[in-house]
Amino acid sequence: MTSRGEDEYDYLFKVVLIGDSGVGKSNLLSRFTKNEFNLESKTTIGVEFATKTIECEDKVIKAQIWDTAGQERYRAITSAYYRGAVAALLVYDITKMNTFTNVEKWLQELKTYADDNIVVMLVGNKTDLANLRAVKVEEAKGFAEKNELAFIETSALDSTNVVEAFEQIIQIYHQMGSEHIRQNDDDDDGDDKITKGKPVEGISSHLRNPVKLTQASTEADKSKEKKKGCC
Amino acid sequence: MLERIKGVFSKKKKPVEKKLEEDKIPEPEDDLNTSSTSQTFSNSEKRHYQKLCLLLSEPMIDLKKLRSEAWYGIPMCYPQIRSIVWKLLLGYYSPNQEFQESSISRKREEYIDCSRSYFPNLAYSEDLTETNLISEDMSIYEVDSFKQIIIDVKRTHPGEAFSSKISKSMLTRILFVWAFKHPASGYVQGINDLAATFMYIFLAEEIDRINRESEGRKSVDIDLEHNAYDLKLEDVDLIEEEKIQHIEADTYWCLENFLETLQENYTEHQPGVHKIIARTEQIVMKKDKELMEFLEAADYVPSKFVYRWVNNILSREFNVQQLIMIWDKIIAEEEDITTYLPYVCAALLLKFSDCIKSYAERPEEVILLIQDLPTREWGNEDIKVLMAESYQLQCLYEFNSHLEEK
Ligand SMILES: Nc1nc2c(ncn2[C@@H]2O[C@H](COP(=O)(O)OP(=O)(O)OP(=O)(O)O)[C@@H](O)[C@H]2O)c(=O)[nH]1
Ligand SMILES: [Mg+2]
Repeated sequence: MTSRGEDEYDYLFKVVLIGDSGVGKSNLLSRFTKNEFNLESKTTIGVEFATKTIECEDKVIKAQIWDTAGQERYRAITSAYYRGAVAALLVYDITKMNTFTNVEKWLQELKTYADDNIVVMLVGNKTDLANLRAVKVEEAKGFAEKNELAFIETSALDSTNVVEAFEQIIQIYHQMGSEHIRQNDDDDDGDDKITKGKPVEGISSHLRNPVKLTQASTEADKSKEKKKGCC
Repeated sequence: MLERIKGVFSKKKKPVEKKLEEDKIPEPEDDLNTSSTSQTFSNSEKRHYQKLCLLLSEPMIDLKKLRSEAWYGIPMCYPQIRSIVWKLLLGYYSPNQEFQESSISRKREEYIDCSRSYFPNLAYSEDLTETNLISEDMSIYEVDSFKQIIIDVKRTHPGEAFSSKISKSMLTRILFVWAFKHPASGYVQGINDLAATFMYIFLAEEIDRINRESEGRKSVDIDLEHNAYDLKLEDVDLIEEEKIQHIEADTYWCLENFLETLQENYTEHQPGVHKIIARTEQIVMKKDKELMEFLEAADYVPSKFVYRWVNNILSREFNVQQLIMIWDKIIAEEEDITTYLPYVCAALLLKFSDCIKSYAERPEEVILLIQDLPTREWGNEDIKVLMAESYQLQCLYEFNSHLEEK
């Protein structure tokens, strides 16, 4: 993975980070974009934004990531940011069962507010706290398969799988978009590896034909949204 | 700059009319006059400080005069003055000195009783875990509030002093009691930062008192260059338990009173926040139509990005010492916070107008700028200018809007 100049990229992807408050969304983001972790990171109010450029199969991809507030009271403003996102990382805390139980609710939110074809990855964070684990890997993996979500476990604290999570979701999307979908459903040989379920149903044509971007919006975005912009 | 603007727009904030009699001025004056020739403190600031002392020494404190005097700012070297002024202006302390003591102790007891009913055994040194705090007989509302508060208290740190177990357990109790008493909104993220700001003010006051005592300084000695708001982690351990309880109770009541006019900010859909943002947008539109149109065209109407400014009363955009200077004015405002805050937000946004417009082709930069303002590099003068500019906007548009209505 290499970074190039900020403005040189082939594709632009909008990704949202969602999940209960305190599961570690902001730390996953700062680990990915700045390689930083902060035990005392502040609560997210509304949304926060960051970008990172990565290389994937010879293409330069710029990810625009929107980190949202997990507390229920902010749902109204955060859900407005789902639109136009091509991927979502739905994060729970492996040491807190209720954050996993709430994943259902978050999927419902996505169904209501996000584009139909959004690619979702379930992310179990805080694997460094192995002795406090409350959500079994198998349980989460089973849930992901049933709901056709990609799945990975991470630790923002010790960096395990953080870059992988972002890169893999971008890859999944990118492969779908480039019509290079290889259905490697059986490729779930360990926690460290992403286990991709069946491709999400109803991938619309714009996902299959990503357009070379000039400005900060895709052709599809332009046709969907009146105003140009990066969100 | 401040003086000039205030000179031009003196309609609203009239200087205190009462002519000060020299012999009534309390002791600090001598120290002020002999203190080192500091360039950061003008003579007018010294005068304001003296007037504040004088007003506070009256048996029946004139809140109106106190308000207009406090509006000019309170020196950072004397946290005791700020603490009393805020408590008075927030309606926690009674202006009648005769009843003040008894009413304070009644309020403190009321808080401590309520807090004890939830935390009968919680020592200040205890770790705040769910197992320590959550019991089976709690309602779902209580359990959910607790869970959120525990996660957030860990992440609330306006300064080093907040890493101590004592501060954390104080803050946990304050937030929980508040949540319990305000089920209409419940605990909402952001309130933790507001509570922490009050706590910071009162901790600084007590630590300053302790330091003065140990250094043998009189409470009236004052060195305008001293900054009493630079708290260290170990400082908090110096405070005795009874004082800690008082600070906790005082923080609670100030938070309670401060939020009274802001209730709607934290209820479902946060209508209060949206109103303040809408007002901010109106002001920016009047003052700098081009900026507003630029933001609208780029689909970046301020509402998306100044949300945190309003929700947290600017506590995330400035460090705690800068914030204190801003809140001095916000609290001294005659009308409630919701009328003045939009002017501060508008002034802040307007400060970056040129910069924002220069990002025409790079809308991402606009977001990155607004969500992480370069205010860390600001000095005290910059804050004063910002507040002067907010006041200028208020004079321009509030009076005009009154005229329009008529
Ligand atoms: N041990 C451990 N702690 C983590 C990890 N990721 C985050 N944390 C801690 O969990 C707490 C919450 O992390 P945040 O990143 O602020 O959580 P969030 O999901 O952004 O929360 P909201 O902004 O409230 O929605 C912080 O104290 C982090 O330091 C991790 O991988 N391991
Ligand atoms: Mg966050």
